[in-house]
Amino acid sequence: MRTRTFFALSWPAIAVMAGLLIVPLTLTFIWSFQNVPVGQPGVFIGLDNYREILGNKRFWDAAGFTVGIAIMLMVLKVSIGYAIALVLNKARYGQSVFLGILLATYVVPTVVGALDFSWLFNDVFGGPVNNILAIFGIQIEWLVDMWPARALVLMHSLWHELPFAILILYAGLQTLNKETLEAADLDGTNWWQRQRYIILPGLARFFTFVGLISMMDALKIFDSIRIITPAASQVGTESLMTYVYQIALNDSYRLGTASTVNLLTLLLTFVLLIPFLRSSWRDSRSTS
Amino acid sequence: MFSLSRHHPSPTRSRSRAASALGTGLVLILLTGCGAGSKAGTSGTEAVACPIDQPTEAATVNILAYNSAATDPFTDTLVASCKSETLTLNHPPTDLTGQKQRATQSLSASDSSYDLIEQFGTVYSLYADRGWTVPLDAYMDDYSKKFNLGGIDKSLLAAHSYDGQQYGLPTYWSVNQLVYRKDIFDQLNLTPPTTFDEMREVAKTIQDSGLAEHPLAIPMAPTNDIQGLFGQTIRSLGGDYFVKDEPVPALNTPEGVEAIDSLKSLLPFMSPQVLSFSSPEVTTQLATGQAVMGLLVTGRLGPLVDKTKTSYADDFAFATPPSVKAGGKPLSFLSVDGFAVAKNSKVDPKLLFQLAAVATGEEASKSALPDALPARLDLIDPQTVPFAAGALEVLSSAKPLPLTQVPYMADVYSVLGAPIGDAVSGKMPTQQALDQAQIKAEEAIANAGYAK
Repeated sequence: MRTRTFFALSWPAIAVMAGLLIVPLTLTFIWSFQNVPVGQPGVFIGLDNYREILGNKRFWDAAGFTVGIAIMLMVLKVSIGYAIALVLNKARYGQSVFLGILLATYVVPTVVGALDFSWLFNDVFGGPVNNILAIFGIQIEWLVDMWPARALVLMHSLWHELPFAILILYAGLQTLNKETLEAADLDGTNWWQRQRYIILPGLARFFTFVGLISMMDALKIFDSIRIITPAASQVGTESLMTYVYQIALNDSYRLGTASTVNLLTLLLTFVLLIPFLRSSWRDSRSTS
Repeated sequence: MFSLSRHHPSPTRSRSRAASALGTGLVLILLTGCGAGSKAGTSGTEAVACPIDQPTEAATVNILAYNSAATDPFTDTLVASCKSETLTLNHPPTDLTGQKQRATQSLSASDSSYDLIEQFGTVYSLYADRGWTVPLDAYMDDYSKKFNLGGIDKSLLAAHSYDGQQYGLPTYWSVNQLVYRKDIFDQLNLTPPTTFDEMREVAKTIQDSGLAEHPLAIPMAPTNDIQGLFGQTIRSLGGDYFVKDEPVPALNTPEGVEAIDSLKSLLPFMSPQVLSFSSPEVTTQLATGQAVMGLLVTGRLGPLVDKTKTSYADDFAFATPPSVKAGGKPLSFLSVDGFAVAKNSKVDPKLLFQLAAVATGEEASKSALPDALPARLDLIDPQTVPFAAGALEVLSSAKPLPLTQVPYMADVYSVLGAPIGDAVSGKMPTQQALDQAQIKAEEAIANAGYAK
């Protein structure tokens, strides 16, 4: 395709991207060096916003929580998703029914799902979890204690997003060469050897894809935290997104400071995604 | 990168499937479009007389008022009654968070998106101080008789004044009330507590009777409740959020410490998760019998007297909240919502004032009952609204104050939740938490541009 033709066909998409991506990014970058209260023009303050945020314990707590939950979610989604995909792959009947049921949690809007999920753990609304735990003499304050609240956010995210991982990895298992697996079986390999030398390498791209999407989803976690633990900063479940929302729109409309947090979050996201991007790059080079 | 299927359907079947999918998609989009962007409905609202001076040329008035059972009657009556061939009234739906954000953005811009703005305690001083809203005193003099503005309670009118000028017309008001199960109190020979000591004794008696494990319920979520409760408690002890008439917080004072300790003393009688509870959780606890006594604002009491929502509707009674100590001010605060006129509006402010007057007029106020108590107190019939008598009693005897009417109140309010919550929960020593609250409040005032 000629370059002129390419641009003739793609200029609307480029224009939309420029309007919705490049312009806001540029504004965010400029505002990060200004004090910008809502309704008033920004005043240049150099690196003051960066000094304030990088010296702020709340920012580091939010960053630590976000990175921690992102890594945990990625590991759990890939491992549990793969385990369930393996079981599905072996099943003779009911695969589509089971997939359909699984996908129900994925299509439920996050806010609705988070509210319903949190009610399972809320004694006021008759949540059954603590009633069941009480049989074993266990009482957990899910909504006010830090680690239980963090576990709750993690469990909801897993419940909501695991079906996507299962679907992708199940699709990947379908693409494996059956003859190779049969040959390996005839050669006397055991289950673990087949996994290690044939199946897992064959699914490498799928794992990379699932890991990449999981990481990106987890880094922007917001809705479920706002619903399950509205007092996130106090409970210890404040993510970078809920933190920036508080600064920009709730605390005192400090758009300059919020822009700084956004830029630092972008940087952090890029750093965390480097391994996945490198893997995808290597993969695309080897196949081209 | 991967494929889900190796099956290759015939071209004809592929085309027909694609056509079906496209057609289905288009139908879905159309159906969605029919519902998308629909405005808050006024179809059920009766139009009343609208004695405004209708504009001679076409005018459009955009109203920013969050949707709730309390606010909608006022706005819906206005929209249903005053639209005409020359006057278009728009009231797009929004929630409370959206209200705050849109109001600030609209009022601070060179061109207003909204002309008539609903306002309330944490924000109206900021709007007035920044010159974003129009002083209404001249219009009140001109139109007082026409719209019977004398029927609005003076203390509620004062809740929307700033620096000696009137900046809003009040619609409805709320106070904090003590709500309790009269049947259980009668059974145990208890009377409504008037001090925290009495409240602890009453709660202990109920706990010991086995009728409720957590008999007391108070909203204490750090998002929006604990800082208000702290303010009521510190005021009951003679302190306040700020040094009088100065932009200086007064949180880490002996009164502040005593306020925190007093609130902590109530925790053994409440659910272990109370520090995550807002009004909905407290209402649910009372409505389901999990709690026997609680503190709630007037606007949240409706479900407790609604037989379709609780089997205990006939058993609830209402009283003035207790004070921390005998002889102190009862715990309470006054919240008054109202309408303000945007200064950057292109619409004639006289017209906007008249519209605000209709929205806060007698007919609109009657339509708000029983979901909200209107600022026109003579319209409230305590016989028909079970908690109205208690609310009127609190208003007249306890003389509750609104949040401090300073432009940095919202900024300070939003940063207090975390340290106050840490103090009450015991996660941090009281004095350390209050020192932190003091620093955060000072920073919030400075960031808002109001430090001395």
